[in-house]
Amino acid sequence: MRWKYYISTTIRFHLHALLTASLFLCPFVARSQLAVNQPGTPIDITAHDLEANAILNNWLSYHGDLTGRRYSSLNNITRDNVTQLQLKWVFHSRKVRVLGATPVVVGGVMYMTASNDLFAIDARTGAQLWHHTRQETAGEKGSESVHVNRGVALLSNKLYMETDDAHLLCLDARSGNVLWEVPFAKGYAGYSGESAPLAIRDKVIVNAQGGKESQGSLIAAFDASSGKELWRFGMQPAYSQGGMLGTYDPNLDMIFWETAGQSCNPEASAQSTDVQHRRCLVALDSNTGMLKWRSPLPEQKQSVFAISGVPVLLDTAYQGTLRKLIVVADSNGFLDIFDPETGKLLGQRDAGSMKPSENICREEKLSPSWNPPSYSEQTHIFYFMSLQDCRASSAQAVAAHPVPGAKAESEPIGKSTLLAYDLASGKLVWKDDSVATDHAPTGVISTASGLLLSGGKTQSFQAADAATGKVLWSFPMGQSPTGSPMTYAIEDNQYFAIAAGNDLFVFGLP
Amino acid sequence: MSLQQKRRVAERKTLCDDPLRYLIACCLGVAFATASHAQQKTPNKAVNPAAAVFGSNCAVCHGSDGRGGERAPNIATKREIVNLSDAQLTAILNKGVLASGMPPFSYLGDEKIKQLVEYLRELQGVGGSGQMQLPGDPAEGEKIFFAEGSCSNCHMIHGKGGFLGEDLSTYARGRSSAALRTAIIHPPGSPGDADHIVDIQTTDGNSYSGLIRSRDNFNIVLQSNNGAYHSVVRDRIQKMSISSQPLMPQDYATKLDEKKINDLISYLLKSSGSDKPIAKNEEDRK
Repeated sequence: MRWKYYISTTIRFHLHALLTASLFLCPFVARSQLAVNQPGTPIDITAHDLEANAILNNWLSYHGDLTGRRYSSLNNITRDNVTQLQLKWVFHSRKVRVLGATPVVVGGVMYMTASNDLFAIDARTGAQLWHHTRQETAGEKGSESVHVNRGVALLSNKLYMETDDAHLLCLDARSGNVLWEVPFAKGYAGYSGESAPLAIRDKVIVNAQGGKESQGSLIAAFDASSGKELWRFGMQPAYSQGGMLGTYDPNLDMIFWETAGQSCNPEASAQSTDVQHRRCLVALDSNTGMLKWRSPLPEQKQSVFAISGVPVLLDTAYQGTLRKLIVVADSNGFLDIFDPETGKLLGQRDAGSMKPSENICREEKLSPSWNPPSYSEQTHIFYFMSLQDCRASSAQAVAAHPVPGAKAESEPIGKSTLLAYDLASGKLVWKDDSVATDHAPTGVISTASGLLLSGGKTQSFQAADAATGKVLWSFPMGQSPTGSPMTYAIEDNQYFAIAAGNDLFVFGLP
Repeated sequence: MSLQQKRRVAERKTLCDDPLRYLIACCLGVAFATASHAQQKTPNKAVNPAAAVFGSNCAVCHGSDGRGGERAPNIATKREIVNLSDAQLTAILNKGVLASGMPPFSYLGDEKIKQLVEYLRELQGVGGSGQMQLPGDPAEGEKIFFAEGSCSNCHMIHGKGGFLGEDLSTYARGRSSAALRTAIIHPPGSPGDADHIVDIQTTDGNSYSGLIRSRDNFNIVLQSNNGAYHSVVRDRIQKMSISSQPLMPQDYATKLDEKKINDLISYLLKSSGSDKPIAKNEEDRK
């Protein structure tokens, strides 16, 4: 076994070296290294910038790039100097709602959203440059929205965001002026927009969170300059929480999205419970919205976990060969591994078997929920923050598996665990079950310098050694993180940012 | 004026303002009540009966003209309020804004709430139907905005134009023709040097030119006319100069004749939808 592992690791190393070398020869990577979209230059994001395989100074989209790996090539902050990390500035939103976004940064300007608010912030000092705001939608239509917004998409010099009443806004990134606005789920009750849109090539793709009565799903594409609707997939907004945007492979020209309802089972009636709890991964032609393939995810048992996951696109050694994979840490507690071209399920790993032993809800899986995972090109490990939540069935679970001192009617038990999973060996490399004792809806990011950033215990933000999970640094924020971290740089100064409550915290070296 | 003098004047103002405003509010409240009372006696004269409802329920906090008071915001010209749909205003009246102390008025009943919304539209200067008379030709005004007047160098309307100045897409909403005329020919100017071009030379030999978008004791952020932001540490500033003239031209009164100004005003009003009845519900707005 050990010998086999050695061979696969060696092959993997060489294949990765080759891949990395080819990446740096690509002209579009070279472009991202030039002084375009750097501080002091006008913003001009091209499709090539978005498709670049290395995330450098700018963090251009919700996941940083279109693959969803949340892996930054920045390496100024290392495992050695991370202990010197200090708070640089805090941006406080005067809104009642918490900040749930991952900010984007381009040319030293950060764009951060709250529900129906968009802030442009000087990424060096935290000073607000402009602010677009509109009233939250009151009444029935917005009632299904929890008034959370996950962030913006960027293309050319324009910003795109969804509103709580499912409108797509296009704003001038220089001024925050609204250039156009289109309602994308018009005619359906109880819909809202929450996800960050996905900008690819010349279009912007949105998905809608729907009300209690809608059982389908909706993914729609709009022309990035005119706002004209190009296509839509699915008939109705999906009943799902925590809208999460999909990913895009420019070579296959396909977008990948976790979706729900009739889009997964078109034959079933909208009222059937099968439709309600059915989730799947779809691949769509980015130009037409036509379905390329559809692959079911494990049946949803707890509607409270009807939360979409990120289909992470990665090139890695899997079962001895270097290949493209989609890995979804789904909300039912499984790691699902797909072939991006055909949708074939290559493997499925029960994340529940990685759960801590003191778990008392045997029926529950560890659910990555709306915590975006990360795949490190440095350690080749897939990291995800999982949530064990016994809210839906704690009473049954406690009755079935009595634990001394536990009461059936006790408070919901939520526990986050950070897991590091090696796709090549199929083994759990390490886990940190001390990260949070409450719901910490934070994703993770990894860096080329071998760091893993995430929410930590006692409402903190932490940096760990990605290889071992050893926590190297942490900062108590006084509130649980509510957004996922990101990293950016201005000249040679690297920063980490994470939202917690109404505040956005930014850290850097002295 | 010395700082002390200023402070004294300010103190005097605060002392005078409160009782005076309160007195005016009360008088006007009474005046409204009286007017409506008179109205009931002389039904021939068309006065909005909602004025009395407004006077006795809203004016005490929002002022009889709806322009705000000590206890409540301006609901007559504050654009966020003017831009709300009738349905949204109705919802606010029915439910109140508990966080800020506005009680629900649902007990008045649907009919009176409807009248209140209509009356508020009148106070907002958009009339019961929301329709305003245009003083000129909006199509001609559009040409002036984008060519002769060079307004579009800095201002944007519905996605077209520049970005350095304020977006004027809905600027005219809740503003009268007279107010727009004043804003064009006697621009009030932004406080301080916010709309003056600033030139900065730094000790490392760089120079930047643009508008100040943010500043504190240690940093200053300029935006140049290509849209780029320059975040500069004050310690590194060697020379900083501020242009004497604001970016907004001060000579439209002589540059554009009366007809052209009216056309321009008409274009601003039309762009803001002030020439159309105001949206009655959410769907109309979309």
